[in-house]
Order: sequence, then C-alpha cells, then structure tokens
Amino acid sequence: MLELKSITKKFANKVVLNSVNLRLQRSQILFVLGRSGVGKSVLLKTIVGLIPQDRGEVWINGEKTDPLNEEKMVTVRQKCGLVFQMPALLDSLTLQENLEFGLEGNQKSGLRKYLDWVQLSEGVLSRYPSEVSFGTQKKVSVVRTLLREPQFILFDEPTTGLDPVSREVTNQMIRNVVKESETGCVVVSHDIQSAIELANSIMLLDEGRVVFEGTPEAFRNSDQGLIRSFCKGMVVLDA
Amino acid sequence: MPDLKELMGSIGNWFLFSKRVIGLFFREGISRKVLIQQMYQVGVRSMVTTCVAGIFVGAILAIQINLQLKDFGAQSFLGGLSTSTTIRNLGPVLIAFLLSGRVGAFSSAELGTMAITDQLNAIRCLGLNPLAVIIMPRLVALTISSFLLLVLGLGLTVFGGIIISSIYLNVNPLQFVSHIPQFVSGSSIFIGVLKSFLFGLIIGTISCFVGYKTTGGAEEVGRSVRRTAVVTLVSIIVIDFLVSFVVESVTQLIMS
Ligand SMILES: Nc1ncnc2c1ncn2[C@@H]1O[C@H](COP(=O)(O)OP(=O)(O)O)[C@@H](O)[C@H]1O
Ligand SMILES: [Mg+2]
Repeated sequence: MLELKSITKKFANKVVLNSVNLRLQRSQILFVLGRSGVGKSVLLKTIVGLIPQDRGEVWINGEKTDPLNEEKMVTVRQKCGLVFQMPALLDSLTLQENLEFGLEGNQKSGLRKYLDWVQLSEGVLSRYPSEVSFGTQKKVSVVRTLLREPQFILFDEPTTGLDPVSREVTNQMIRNVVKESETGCVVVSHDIQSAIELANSIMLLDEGRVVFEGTPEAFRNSDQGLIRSFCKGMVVLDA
Repeated sequence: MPDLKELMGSIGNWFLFSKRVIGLFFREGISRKVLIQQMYQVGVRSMVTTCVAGIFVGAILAIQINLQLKDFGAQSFLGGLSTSTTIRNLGPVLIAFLLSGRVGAFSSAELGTMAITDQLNAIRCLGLNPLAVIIMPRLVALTISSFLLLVLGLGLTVFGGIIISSIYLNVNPLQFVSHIPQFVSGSSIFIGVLKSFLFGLIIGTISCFVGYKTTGGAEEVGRSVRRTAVVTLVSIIVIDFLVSFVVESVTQLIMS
C-alpha cells in the first residue's frame, strides 16, 4: 500500500501542499484533479523523494521512506515509478537507448508487450527524441517506466496534449497495467471524463488541501462549487 | 548586489559539489568511450575559436611589446619577450575568457535544460545518480578539453607573434624565434600550463555546478548561462592574480 500522512511542503513562503493525506492499494486507480499550479506535480515528486517534504510521512508497503537518503530512495523508486509531465527523455540518446538506460538484462523481456500497449512500433526506436512527436515521446517515457515493473506508478498528466485517439490508448494502457500486474496507479489529470471512467476514487486539490475525496459517482453528484465548475468543463468538452 | 552571506554559501556549495563529482571520478572512473565522446563534442565545437584566439592574442601582444622595445632599439628581443609574457600572463587569461563563453555557456545551458525538463530527475527515478552518469563525465571532459585547448591556443600565440612580426614589424621569423629559449624559461611554461589547468577546472566545475542547480522555467536557463559567464570570468581573473602573486612571492623568497 502507498500512504501519505499529512504531507506539507512550502516554497519560499508559499504553502503548496498543506497536510495532504492519501491512501492507495495495489490494483486501484486514484485520479488527482486540481487547477494548474495547485501542486499536483510537486505531490508526485514528493512521493518518490525528488522534492523532500517539510512535514509528514510517505509509507510504501509498510515502510517509511527517507527522502534525504538517496541510497535508500533507490529501492523506493524501484517500487514506485513516476512518469513525468514532460517526457523527460535524454536528448543525447536514441529512444531505444533511453529505454535501456540503466536497465537490467532481464527487464527487457516485456518491451514488445509494452510497446503494443501504447501502440508504438519498434521501428521508431532508432530515432532521437527531437525527431519524433510529443505524443511519441510521452509514450516512450511511459514504456520506460513500465519496463521496470514497479508496484505503483504515478502518472503526471499522461493525456495532456495528446489527441483523442492517443488518449484512449493511454487509458487502455492504464487498465492493462492494473489488470496484468496489479499495479496501483495515481493519475494526475485534467481529464474528468477519463477520471470518471477509470478511477476507483477521485481526489480534488485546491489551495494546498484535499477538498474532495470519494468515488466517481460521489464526485459527479457533488454540489461543491469547484467540482461543479470542473464538471461543467467536461460537459463543454463533450458538446 | 548579492549579499556576502549568500556569496559565501554559493562558493561553499560549489566547492562541495566539485569535491563530490571529482571524488566520483577517482572512485568509479569513467568509460573511455564516454570520455572521448564528450571531449570530441567540446573540442570540435571550440577548436576554431581557440585557434583564432591564440593567433590573434599572440599578434596583439607582439605589437604592444614591440611599441615598448622600439624606442630602445631592442627589437631583436621581441620574440623572446612577447612569447614569455604571452605564455605566463595574458595568453591563458584571454583564451580562457573565450573558452568560457563558448564551452562554459554551452554546458550550463545543456545541463540547465536537462534539469528543468526533469531529465535529471528521470535518471534518479531509474535508480541512477545523475552526478555519476551525466555530470561527472561532462565535468572531466570539459576540464581536460579546456586544458588541452588552452595549451593549443598558447602554442599558436607564438605563430601569431611570428606572422605579425614578419609582415608588419620587420622582425623576421628566425630573429623572432632565436631569443625564445633565452626568455622562455621552464618556469614560464610551467606557469602557463598550471594556469591552463586551473582555468580548465574553473570552466568545467562552474558551468556544471550552475547548470545542475538550475530550477524553474526556461528563463532560468538563460539566467544560468549568464551567471556561468560572469562567475567564470571573475574567477579566472582572481585565480590569475593568486597564481601570479604566489609565484612572485616564491621567487622573491628564493632570490633573497
Ligand atoms: N522547485 C520548485 N521551487 C519553487 N517553487 C516550485 C518548485 N516546483 C514547483 N514550484 C511551485 O509550486 C507550485 C505547484 O507547482 P506544480 O506542482 O508544478 O503545479 P501543477 O499542479 O500544475 O502540477 C507552483 O506555484 C510552482 O511555481
Ligand atoms: Mg504539473
């Protein structure tokens, strides 16, 4: 289980995360929603220790993490993968080299399957990141994390900037990884429709706090102002 | 004006960073392939700049020193004097200035971009240490390449001096070269090489440090490049002063 206990993070004098709690079992999907700049990316980076929290604790499978101990964080990051908001591929390496960077031999076996999941052809892998589309870069960065077969995966806006077809491919990929490997997924997104389709629970952040947490049904039926305006956005998208 | 405390803090952090990265180099070594690849990139990018700089620096100093010697009818010493001055004093500084603009700016922009686009964080998430796999090879390659380029540039200053002297100052090449051994002592060469090494180290460590520490948006990469340029230039001047000062003092000590 992945558990956050009252995580607080300040930058300069701005409180970005204010006592945020979160629980995620394996095989579950949690969608995290919130306006841009609310601290969603910071939250994910805190979980894997890229940004140490000021207060609060992160527990993974009953073990408390120590973000100041880089060596111990290596094992945490093996258990909990992060797919960044930007593709974050190394510009100087081909896509293939990016996928194999730091990979152990036995981890390469799943490559064909994962490429299938995101509908990438192997032919494209000899190119450099700058030579392929943003969507392809994002898919490669997803595969990079899938290959390591973590027990939890944190996706930071996996469908933002993608066309509707790629968005559906990405959603199906998330379903696959949950079904096949019992992976627990945290998905940061602006895509309410995907959230309602995929999520076991939805969490809404505003001004550093969790202002809603519950099932997709409860989310849809809530009369909280912010949730209504989020859902209105969805209706507009649907039209 | 950054306050003094902040400045001392930055210098301390730069020192710890350099110590850590250089420690990694001595502990873990570096793959020859990666080193050559990186050095090739730096070297090729800056070869022309360095050659042009070397030749012109040699020419400029020959003209300046000729002005002073002419009045004493001592032009035959031109080659010896200008070569000695160039190698131990102004040559390394001027060439290092150019290299810091070329090599240093490029490296801090490259690493800054990697930092703000989460490329370095992604490496951490793959269970690797970006200091070991990205920064260390670059820092070592930058330092070695800058050093070699500086030595190459210094060598070319002699050619610059010869060319300008024979076409403009009426000192023929043979005359120019004949007094070089007399003036250019082993210590001049040692000082030139020592400065080249220290300047290479400065360019390498500062550009990597500033690039690595970049946070925020794209405009921060620009700020890092500017910071690298300014800090490197000031550091080169300070180191130049310190080396000259120490060497002078030691010479005095030995003489007395
Ligand atoms: N390394 C950092 N240093 C200072 N401020 C930061 C840093 N990272 C993020 N922030 C700030 O934290 C806030 C939340 O950012 P982020 O998590 O990226 O938002 P989002 O919810 O859009 O992902 C923003 O105001 C951002 O400027
Ligand atoms: Mg974000």
